[in-house]
Amino acid sequence: MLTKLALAGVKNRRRDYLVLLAGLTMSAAIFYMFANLATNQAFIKANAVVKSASLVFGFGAVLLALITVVYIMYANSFLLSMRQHDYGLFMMLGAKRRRIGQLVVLETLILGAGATVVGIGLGILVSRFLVSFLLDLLGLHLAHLTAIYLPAMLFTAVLYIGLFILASLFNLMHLMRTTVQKLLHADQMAVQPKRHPGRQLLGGLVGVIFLAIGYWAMAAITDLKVTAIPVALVTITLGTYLLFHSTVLAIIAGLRRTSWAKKHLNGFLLGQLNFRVHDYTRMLTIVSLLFALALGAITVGSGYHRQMPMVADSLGTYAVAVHNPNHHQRQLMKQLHVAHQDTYTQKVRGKTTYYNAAELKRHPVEQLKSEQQTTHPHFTTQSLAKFKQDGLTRLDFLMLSPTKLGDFATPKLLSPQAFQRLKGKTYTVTTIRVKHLAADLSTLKQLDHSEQRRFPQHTAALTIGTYQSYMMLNGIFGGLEFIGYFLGIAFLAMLASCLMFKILSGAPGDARRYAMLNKDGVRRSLMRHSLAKEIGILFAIPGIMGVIDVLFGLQMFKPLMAKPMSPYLGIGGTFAIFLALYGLYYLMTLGLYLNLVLPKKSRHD
Amino acid sequence: MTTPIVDVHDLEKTYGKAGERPYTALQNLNFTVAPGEFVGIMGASGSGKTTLLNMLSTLDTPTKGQVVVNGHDVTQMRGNQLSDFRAQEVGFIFQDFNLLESLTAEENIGLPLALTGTPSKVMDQAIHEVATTLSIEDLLKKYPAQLSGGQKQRVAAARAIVHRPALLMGDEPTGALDSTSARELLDLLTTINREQQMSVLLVTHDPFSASFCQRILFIKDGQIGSELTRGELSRQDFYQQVLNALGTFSE
Repeated sequence: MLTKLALAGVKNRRRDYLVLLAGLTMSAAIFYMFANLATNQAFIKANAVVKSASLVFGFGAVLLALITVVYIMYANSFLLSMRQHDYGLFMMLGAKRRRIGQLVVLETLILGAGATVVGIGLGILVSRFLVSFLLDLLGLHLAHLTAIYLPAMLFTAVLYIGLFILASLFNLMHLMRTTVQKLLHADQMAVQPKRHPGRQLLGGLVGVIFLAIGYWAMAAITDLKVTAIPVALVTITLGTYLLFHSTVLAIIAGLRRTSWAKKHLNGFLLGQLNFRVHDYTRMLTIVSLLFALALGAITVGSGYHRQMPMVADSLGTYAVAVHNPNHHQRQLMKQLHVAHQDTYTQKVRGKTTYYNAAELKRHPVEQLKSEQQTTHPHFTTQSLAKFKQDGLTRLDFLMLSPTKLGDFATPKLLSPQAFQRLKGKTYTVTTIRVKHLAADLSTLKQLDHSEQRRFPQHTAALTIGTYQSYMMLNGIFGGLEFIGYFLGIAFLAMLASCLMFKILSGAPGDARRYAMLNKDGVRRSLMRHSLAKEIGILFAIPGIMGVIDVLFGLQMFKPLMAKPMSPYLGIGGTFAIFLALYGLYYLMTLGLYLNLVLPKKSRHD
Repeated sequence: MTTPIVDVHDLEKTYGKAGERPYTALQNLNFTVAPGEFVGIMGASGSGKTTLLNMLSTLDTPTKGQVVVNGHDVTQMRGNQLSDFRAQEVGFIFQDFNLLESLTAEENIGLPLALTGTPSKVMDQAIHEVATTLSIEDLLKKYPAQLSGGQKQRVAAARAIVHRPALLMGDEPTGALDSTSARELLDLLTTINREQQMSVLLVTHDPFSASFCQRILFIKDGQIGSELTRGELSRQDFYQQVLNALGTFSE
């Protein structure tokens, strides 16, 4: 009978349970997606440019596990707050505590197991979609990457089920120890935080010091090696929490004393924030960390994505060199955005490739102006005499030989007459430099393939043209690029579910408060504005903190994005897109919240 | 004759969607409240008391008829007019206090003034005046959770009158109070009614509360069944009269 009653209670709060289940499922799915990469040793080894990559994953997993613990704690307290009134009522009507305890444990475990199973399933689906989508989009090929990976499934299941067992025990203890009275009236209690100005100031200072240590540790990653990461994680988490804890309360208290607080609903807004600040500081800390992780990962990923072609652009004087272009190749060449194009006649005899000096004089071979690496290369040409001494042996020019350095001697320049007389196989070679590699990648790929089919390369170790340089960079950094995007999206989803979950869990209480305001004659527009501000503040604080974290955190990637790459290059665009997405997400959450919280229109309101 | 503060004319409220069997909560209801009058509305549960109060306070729409409060026909109001009417023309005291637990007593009381954009100095003065009237000066910095039921209701009463509305409405305001607190609150309402000439409309099913009124309207099955006027009677005698009336009325 009691079970039936409990089930009826669940049915009545379907929407709340759906929110809860959806949040937990999301969290499990994201954890699986992460574990899928982190526990896949073969994948990590194949893509580990730097030895620390697997360690980074290790710390990432620990961090995500910690976030998950806090997340489940939230979810659990939400569950408990939903249920304790019902359970208190059952006890008041004479149900035995033991029986209620069983029900609580059962309910928590069923919910947890359901969320875990569905979450892993969702994680597999999303992984499959995201992996193929990202690889396609980024033009990467990564080995050992699968959506279904058993160790990751086990890892996720063990962690989640374990946490839910703990949560159910916690709930059991809570219900066994709390008096029926308290259970019945728990939702009417209001805890007003006490303020200790001295302690708060100290807390704020310590917070700033912790943050400074964390930022320094990330910048000093070359000296600190692997220790930089745990140091930064711990100090930044603590620092952010302490900073929020001291400043948010102080700012609210300060604002409450101003006359601004006495206008319209401002006082109510501040009261609301103050009322929830204890809950909120923890949540805001986590969200700001997730924000920073998501933005940071995506910035690094897109940094590689944008900068690899730019770097490759500066690695040579031509993107591709095509010998004896056939019709198909000529068509392809027409599609390119050509910056510079030259065609030379070659004759090969024995190991030596001969060129017509007159042709080279008419069309001097382009040279990179300086060897210094930059993403804005300059090109220059040399006089024929100088070219004979210097340019002739430059790698870019040597590679033009149709034998592709199979068995070669230094190329020679001949006078037009001598070149005419020389017996040997004649070729033409067309070199093309494009404006930006990034714009012509697919055409260049086809050209490169057909050239390699017709004139095979003897060694893959040397790259001919900047397109091949780009492919080589892709091989080295592509894994990191992929990981950056993948984790960025995963963290963003986690952030979204965390924020939405926390905000939505406050909806029932807010619905009651806004119903009161409605009765007191507050205009709907005023209520809407107040809600928009409240949720806006909850979005803005972690956003600002997250951006600051990332600006400092990118220091960590300086060794991984050595010159001419830089983790800071062109981050404006990435930030703008990310913030626009975040803004969009804010609007969605607000819409949902307005729907849940604002009193239904009574009549033509 | 002065213009009544409340004029209800031919009011009807029917619930039920199209196709369902309709349920008529109020039918052909007529009454007026004069300025400065203290009127009680009594009736058993389900007699339509709360429905009537919701119509008067614009929280619900009548099916038919007219409700004029302080010269405004509330049935013709739309959108912001409705909320502004609630914020400016009337004050409410609810059975469950309706205090915002995230605000201090002072901030709760100041809310109606904040909504109209009153300067903070004027607001502080008004809050302290009303707090003195209701003897709650030392409660102002406290949060609702720190107050007893009686204290909460006095704070709620302060909020209801701080903006000097033309009409104060109470929906079973003593319903959740112990007898001492209830008596204190009713005495306060009487004082406010007398000293500030504020009209009071009290909805209750409790004869003791009703005995504080000058006139009582009995609602039965959605209509005014009978009416009782206190005249020169003492409160105790009027209480007896109310009890007697209830005895015959319910038969």
